[in-house]
Amino acid sequence: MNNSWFKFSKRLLSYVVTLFLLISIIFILLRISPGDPVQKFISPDLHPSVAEKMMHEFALDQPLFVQYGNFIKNLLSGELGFSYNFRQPVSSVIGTALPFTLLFSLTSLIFQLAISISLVTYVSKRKGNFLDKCLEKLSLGIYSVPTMLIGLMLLYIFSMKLELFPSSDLYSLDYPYFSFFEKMIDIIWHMTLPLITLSLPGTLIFYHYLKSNVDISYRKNFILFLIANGKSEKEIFSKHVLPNSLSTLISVVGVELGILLGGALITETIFGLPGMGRLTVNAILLRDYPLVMGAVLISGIFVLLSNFIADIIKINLNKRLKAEIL
Amino acid sequence: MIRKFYIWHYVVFITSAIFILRFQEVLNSFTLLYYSIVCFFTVENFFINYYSFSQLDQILSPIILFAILVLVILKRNRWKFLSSRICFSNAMLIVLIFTFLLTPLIAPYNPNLQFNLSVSKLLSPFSSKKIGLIVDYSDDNYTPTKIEKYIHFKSIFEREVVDENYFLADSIITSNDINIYQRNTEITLPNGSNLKTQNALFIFGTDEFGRDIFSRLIYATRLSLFIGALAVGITFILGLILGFISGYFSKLIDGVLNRFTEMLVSVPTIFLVILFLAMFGNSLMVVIILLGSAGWMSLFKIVRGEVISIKNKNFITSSKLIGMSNWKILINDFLPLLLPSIIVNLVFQFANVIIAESALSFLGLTGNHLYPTWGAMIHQGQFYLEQAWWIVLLPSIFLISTLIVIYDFGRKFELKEI
Repeated sequence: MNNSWFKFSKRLLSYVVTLFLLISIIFILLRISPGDPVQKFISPDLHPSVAEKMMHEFALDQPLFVQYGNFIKNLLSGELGFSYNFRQPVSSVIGTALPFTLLFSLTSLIFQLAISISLVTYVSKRKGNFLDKCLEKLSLGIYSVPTMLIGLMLLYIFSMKLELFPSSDLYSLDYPYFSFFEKMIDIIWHMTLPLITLSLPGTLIFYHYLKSNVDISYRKNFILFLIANGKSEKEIFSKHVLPNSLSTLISVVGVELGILLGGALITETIFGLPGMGRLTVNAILLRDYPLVMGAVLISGIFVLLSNFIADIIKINLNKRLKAEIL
Repeated sequence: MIRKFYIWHYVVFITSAIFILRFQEVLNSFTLLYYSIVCFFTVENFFINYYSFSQLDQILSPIILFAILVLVILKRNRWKFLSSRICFSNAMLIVLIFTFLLTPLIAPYNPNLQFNLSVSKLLSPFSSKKIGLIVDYSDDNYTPTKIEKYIHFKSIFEREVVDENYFLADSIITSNDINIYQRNTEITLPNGSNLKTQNALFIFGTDEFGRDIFSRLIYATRLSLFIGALAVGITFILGLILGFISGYFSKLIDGVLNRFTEMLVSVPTIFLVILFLAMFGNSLMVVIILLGSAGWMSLFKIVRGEVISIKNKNFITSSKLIGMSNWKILINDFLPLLLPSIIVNLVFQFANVIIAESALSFLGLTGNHLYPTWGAMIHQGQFYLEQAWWIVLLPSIFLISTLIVIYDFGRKFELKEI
């Protein structure tokens, strides 16, 4: 037990080092890159002294290592610096976008997992079913449709032709005057299309992984033994087949979750949603250095953390993997 | 009657279809070839003053067409691929190869050619119009020189982006001197010129600037595949060399490179690519290099793992003792063993690059190249989605079916069916 805690903490430490290196490299890249952040915020007609003053305000006129020291100080204070564009601490800017991204990606992930696992449960009892064949073809087909095309297609059909769902934004115009229940309905109504766009490919990919693993598990000898012992089919599936085939799925989910939490850039752009992806890209294009650093840090933390959690869940499901993973 | 429809039947069918449908262009490009050869020997500084790469493309494409036809008919029994059954992915692969090689021959217009907007804006698919072409014809006695003829044929292929003597109309009525077209607009022809009319069919419609979508799609296919192929080449070189260095040499380098890869994997790659695009500008070469160097991590892991598992085998030790250089050991000993898994990885990487490129163009981040890419066409069409669905639909169909082909071949390589 003691040994495994030591290994866990060693691994966490290596994550911290990785993140720190990443942030430092991006810091250096941003500073040596051509392009002046000040020029984005002031008109070129103004006197050059204004630009110089602004440079001084942003502390960009100081030598590189002083800037780096400032950056580390900001990082440790938890404020992550001061955004040039929003004129707010980066932590509060990210705080406006992060709740939406968390809600959006976690809901999407829950949907993906729930739908794919229930589909597999349904299909594995009826092999060679029509639905089985359909889903097998569909999961391979949807895999080669990029997200943006799914989004555009849904937008065209449901929002432009049938006019069932709104085409962009998270709230209606008169959102502040709604009661709580109406607010919930409004958000769900606005989120339907983005959620489908984000969840559809993932659902089918998860389905594909899980289905092939379940098929492999069914062919193993201990299942035959259990059937011979007269265990019910339901019990075999839920207690033996499913836990044995989840481990690949969980590592895929870990990777997927990390990417989702970094911001679903394409979906956010198509439906005009205020998430992390668009915030990051706008920060990059506006050369808002502290905000870029903050966003990269946050998404890096999420990727590593979700991989870590996936590993822990895998170990809990299958104790034999402990030595292999840690 | 053909019992089974093989791939070489399909190829012959496509080549002859292109030949029949584009007979005039094939003829014109052979004439251009003739005049360029004649002018090369007679006109001073011909290559410097008159020649350009696009004409080489134009001249080569019918030659390639005939070469493909002859090769396929001669080698149909030798090459196994040609005498296998046709299926969707094979058929689409052949269409893609043809559009890549014979782009100027297949595309009817210059992809950037803008017709007059009053007629040609957002035409729906399969709309047919009349093209009016004002041709100078001076004295009959005047015989043009070789170079003038050359320039004339050149101008047939290279229509200017806006050409006043080349217009589109719903209908053209000619009576003696005055020509009427498009809702009673009259034009009087300049002296000594003639009005030619021909039919124009826009199979895939036009976009908001009156450009033919079919031509744009054909050129976009070439550019997208080109970007994908070059980026995959860069990925291959980076992944192979870094993986070899990491697996073959000391543990220190291995540790450093591993940590570096882990670091890169922990950020969504698209943000890093956008960051670099914002830093280095978005010209075509930068896009290719960035997309190529964004995806080497998985190849690195594969190569490193296999190199570590092979490097203590006897044949590697003996090559080392003979005195072969590290580079030669990589090429002669490791590469043939690594190749199957590398190819599988690269095929999937090709799909990833195409998806990433179209996503970046869709966001409007890759800038304007001379020719569009699929993603750029989708990006441009999304603003007109409500009025003109065809601008988005056709590039998406091409994109999706290309990806299906790539995944299908990747899967076949993985299962070692090929």
